[in-house]
Amino acid sequence: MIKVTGALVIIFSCTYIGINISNKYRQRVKELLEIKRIVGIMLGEIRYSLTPIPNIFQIMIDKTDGVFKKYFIVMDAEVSDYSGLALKDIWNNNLKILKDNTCLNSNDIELFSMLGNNLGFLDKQMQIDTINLYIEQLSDQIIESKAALKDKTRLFSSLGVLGGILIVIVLI
Amino acid sequence: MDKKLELLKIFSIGLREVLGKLDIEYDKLQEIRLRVNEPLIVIYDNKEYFVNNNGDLIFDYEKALIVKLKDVRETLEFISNYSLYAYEDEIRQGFITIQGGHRIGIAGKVILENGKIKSVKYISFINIRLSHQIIGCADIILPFLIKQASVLHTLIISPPRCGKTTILRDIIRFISNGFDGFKGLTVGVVDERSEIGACYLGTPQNDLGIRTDVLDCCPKSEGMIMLLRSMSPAVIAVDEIGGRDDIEAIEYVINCGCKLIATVHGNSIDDIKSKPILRRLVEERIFERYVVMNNKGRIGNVESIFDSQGNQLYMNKV
Repeated sequence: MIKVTGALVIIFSCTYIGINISNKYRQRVKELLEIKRIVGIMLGEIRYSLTPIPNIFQIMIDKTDGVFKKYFIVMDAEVSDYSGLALKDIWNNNLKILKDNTCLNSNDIELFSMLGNNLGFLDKQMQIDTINLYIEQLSDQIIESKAALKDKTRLFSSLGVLGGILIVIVLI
Repeated sequence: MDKKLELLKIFSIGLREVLGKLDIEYDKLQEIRLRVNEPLIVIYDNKEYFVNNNGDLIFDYEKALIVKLKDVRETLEFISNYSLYAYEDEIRQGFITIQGGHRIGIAGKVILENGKIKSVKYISFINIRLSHQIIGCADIILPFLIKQASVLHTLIISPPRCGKTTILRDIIRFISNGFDGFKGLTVGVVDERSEIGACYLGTPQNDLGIRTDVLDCCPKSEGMIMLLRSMSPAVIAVDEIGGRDDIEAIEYVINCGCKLIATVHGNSIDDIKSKPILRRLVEERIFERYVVMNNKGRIGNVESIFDSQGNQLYMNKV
């Protein structure tokens, strides 16, 4: 009886781990889509209202939730503080919030960092072009991650179950 | 926010440290000039000084702090609120107005498109002109600008840096709020260069009175007509007239029964007459009062006041 219970615990645990990993891939797609939405708002604010960056951060605080809201709250506080840091430094210093609290991979973070490096100091058209380029790259990432999502979720869910069974067999 | 802190936050870290050590009265600080690889200069109490690394005002430029390219670039980033693109139109005109109403003049490499200024790149020269409201500086001249509870068409003539905008701002505030039995009137201000109201995100940073509407960053000629149609002002105030379009708009405003208070660069009525575009305004006696200013003694010193016929009504002996 104990053996059966132990075997079931192992199988369920491994299945849970597998599902958890596959959920991270699903979550990454959601987060990339959220970034696309955020950057779209940013583009609109710059294109139609020439809204300055600190005001864009305040708008983002109202229009986002969770980790992105947290990111913009910190950014807003730092740009309002006039600490003497350049915008790209403020942007990049706070990327840790996204690294630690999202499922974005290093490539996604790097791309987001590059956007921050080019914000603020160019003319409007260059600013729009920079954001459009980022949106294009982001869209490619989203398509890629969506395409991989089905396979990856199936793979990790199955791996979880099969891995659990394998461990049980080895232990028996 | 403290005036000193408000000002310091726009500078690079290096300059902040030095300027923070200045032992001065900030109300007397008029200009701070940054030029790449040149000494840091301040205009304080109408005198030019250099600033050394210890934050002392000195006269010897060889001992002065040299402004670096990095200082100018960083300062520009803070001046523009990390958003240079948001000030494209202002940069095209050569200045940015920041919170507190301070005016930042810039110069660098001009980019042309179809023969017109598109932008300014490689900005290497920055002139920070501090905005100082002097409440009550117009109280001496106000009785000359009012007749039977009505404001007279007035032209303020002044050379640059003599305080014409400061005095115009105070006149607007007095007329808008009312004073000594004079009931306040609705005043419309066309603030093409954001100098009068020093609007930051649409809100005037300077006190322009309780009945004042401001059209910020709007060309004067179009703004005067827009105000007439939309806000029905009793008085319209504009700064630094001079263009042909301005004159046409002024005539339109005056014909609509609205009173006008304007400023112009010049030294005297004769000086204004010598300018082809402005001459007609004087010859046709459109303005009922001329206020001539100089900076003898202090900024905002009114030298004399004339009526439309050229009769002197007031003379300051300073």
